Order: sequence, then structure tokens, then C-alpha cells
Amino acid sequence: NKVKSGWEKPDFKHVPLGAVT
Amino acid sequence: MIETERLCFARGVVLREEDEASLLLVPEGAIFLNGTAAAIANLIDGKRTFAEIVEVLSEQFSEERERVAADAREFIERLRASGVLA
Repeated sequence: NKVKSGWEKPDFKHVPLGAVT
Repeated sequence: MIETERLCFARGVVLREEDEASLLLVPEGAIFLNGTAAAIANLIDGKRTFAEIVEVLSEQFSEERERVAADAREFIERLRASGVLA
């Protein structure tokens, strides 16, 4: 399926294991 | 050369998709992904090359291949630096 919303810069947030739980 | 590289996650990394978010579970925590990052992660299966992933994304998002490739390359390098890729 094509995505209607446009492309955005891929990003992520790294969260150390902790209260992720 | 990244274009012909078959990308796959490192051992112990699991992609998890929930209603509210997509995340990679890693031994030391979690990596929360935005929409396009999740789309890339879904295509990392150890079979597709970087170029093939870019092709799919470019079609899926109706976006110029050059822009998708540049953004995806930067994202992949950040993932690699985080130890998430094999």
C-alpha cells in the first residue's frame, strides 16, 4: 500500500532499560 | 558498499509494533522509531539490499529516490553505530 502522508526524516530515540519496562 | 549490502538486525534485536509506537527491543533497552524509521525497520529482513529497501520506500511514500536514499543511509549508519545491525 502507498502511504498518503509524505516522507519524513527517519528518526529514533534510544531509551536505556529502565522504568521501557 | 551500502547499496548492495543485505541488511539484518543483530542477534537479540526484536522489532515490535504496537498501536501507539514501533520500537526495537535491544538487550540494553528500547529504540522508539518514528513512522519512516519503522517502515525501514520492517524491510530489514536479511534478504533485501539497501537499494531494494530504498526502492520500496520511494514507491510506498511517493518520494524521490535520492531523498529517500540519503535519509535512509543516514538512519542506517546511526543504527549501525548503535550496534543494532549485524
